[in-house]
Amino acid sequence: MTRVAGSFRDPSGYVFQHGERIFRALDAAAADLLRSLNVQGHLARWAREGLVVGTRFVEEPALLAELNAAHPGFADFVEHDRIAPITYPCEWSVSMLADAGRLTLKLQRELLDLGLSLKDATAYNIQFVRGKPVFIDLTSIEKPARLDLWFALGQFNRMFLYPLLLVKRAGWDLRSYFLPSLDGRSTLQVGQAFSWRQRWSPGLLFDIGLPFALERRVKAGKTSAPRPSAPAPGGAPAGHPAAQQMTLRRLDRKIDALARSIAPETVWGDYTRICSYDDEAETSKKALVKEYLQDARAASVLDIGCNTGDYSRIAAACGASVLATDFDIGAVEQMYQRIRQEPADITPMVVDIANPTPGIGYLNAERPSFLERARPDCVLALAVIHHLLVGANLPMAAIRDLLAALTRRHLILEFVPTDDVMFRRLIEFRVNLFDHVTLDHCLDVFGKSFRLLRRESIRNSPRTLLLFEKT
Amino acid sequence: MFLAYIDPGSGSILIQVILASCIGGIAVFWSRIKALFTGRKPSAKTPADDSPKPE
Repeated sequence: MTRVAGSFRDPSGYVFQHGERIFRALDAAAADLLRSLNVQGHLARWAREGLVVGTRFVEEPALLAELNAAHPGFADFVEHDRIAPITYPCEWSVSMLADAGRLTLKLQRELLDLGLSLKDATAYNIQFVRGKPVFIDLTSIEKPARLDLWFALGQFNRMFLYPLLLVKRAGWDLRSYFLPSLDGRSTLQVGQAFSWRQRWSPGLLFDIGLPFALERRVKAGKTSAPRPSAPAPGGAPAGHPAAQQMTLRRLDRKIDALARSIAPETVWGDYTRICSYDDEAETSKKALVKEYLQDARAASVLDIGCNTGDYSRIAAACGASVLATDFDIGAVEQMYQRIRQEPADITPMVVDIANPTPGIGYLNAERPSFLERARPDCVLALAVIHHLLVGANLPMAAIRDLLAALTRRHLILEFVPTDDVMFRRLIEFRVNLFDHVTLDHCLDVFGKSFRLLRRESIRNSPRTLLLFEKT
Repeated sequence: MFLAYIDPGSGSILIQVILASCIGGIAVFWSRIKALFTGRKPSAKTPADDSPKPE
């Protein structure tokens, strides 16, 4: 039984893996609370509505005894639906972060109606399943001391509102916001990104202007904030929830409006319209990719350079669970919005495959690296080889090693020759560097780690589609 | 002190305290105004239409 590396901060329980199943150990207080939510039918209803991950109490005596022996000192155990792959906010598009934030607010409002609250509001408590956000950290639910204040509001702002404001008004991106800091950025840091005139403008006054000014006063010792305290034993939480409800509704509207107003600025967003394929080439490529995917019979597919996800959809239609990545934020944004409208088993992610997300947090293992999380049966690398050769300056052998590290079995590679119009566009000023890049060279280099299963040229195009199996 | 294992952010808490007292104040004031017309005793808490709706 392996404990999930990121599950240790909250002392009321933790998540561990047992075989292929995911369990959570609960202390007495957390178990009591979740039991009552379970009996009242809330857990099942929230799971049905896609608000929280599917969760069941472990009742089977043999399994319970086994879990108790391996994890002594806990009152109860629940099993969660398994979620794969896991994604992190530094890999989300703007709308993904906004939807995750709005889900957190929705859950907090539901809990408030029951006299409960979330004790934290980190974006790592949300995962995406079939392109929809779902809340996974059930031990975040607690009986709060007060209903008028939400002590996790500051964290909510750091994780959801501030990054969206910085993307919209200061040109930030989510990767640079989240990667160096697991808890987002402080009010004092974010406040400094704006002039005092901006901070006191109506759009920022309640979320940055006033908190920034108040926090500075607290820092200077001129005032102090109330501290979270324990609820009176047996008593109801203090305060009326009306003010908090109003804040939650206001934040929900604000985050929705922010996400809608951030126009996706994309390099390849128009690619499907301007790309080099005519209709016949595209039909031919799609048919071949489908055949190769059916040959590979992969349960999980990683699509590298997925653009707006046309081929990810083909893979999902072939029955695979798809992880669709692109370095272009705008493309992933468009793909996510399309999945929202036409659901499919696709998890979109912003990842630069030549510089993928590193392991971050405690011991560099709390949030594992992209390569540790993405373990697909098949890698789909369509129209990316020229980007890796030219854009990332990777030699052919390095590309082979990267793709061999990523896939567990198959690789579908589209070879793009140097006389292809998209390749020529990339090497306008450095033509001679890539003279050796031919299909034979590619097959020769890839042959060291892969066995070639199929090779077909795409009709009306200089490109070739290759199916490899790792040796 | 009760366990709060995240940094609540003093600014975010204080702004909530201010908002809560404003809204509480308005609610009490409003219930007094209403009491003038209905002749009923004002409740000490915020009005019932702000209370959670069962779903």
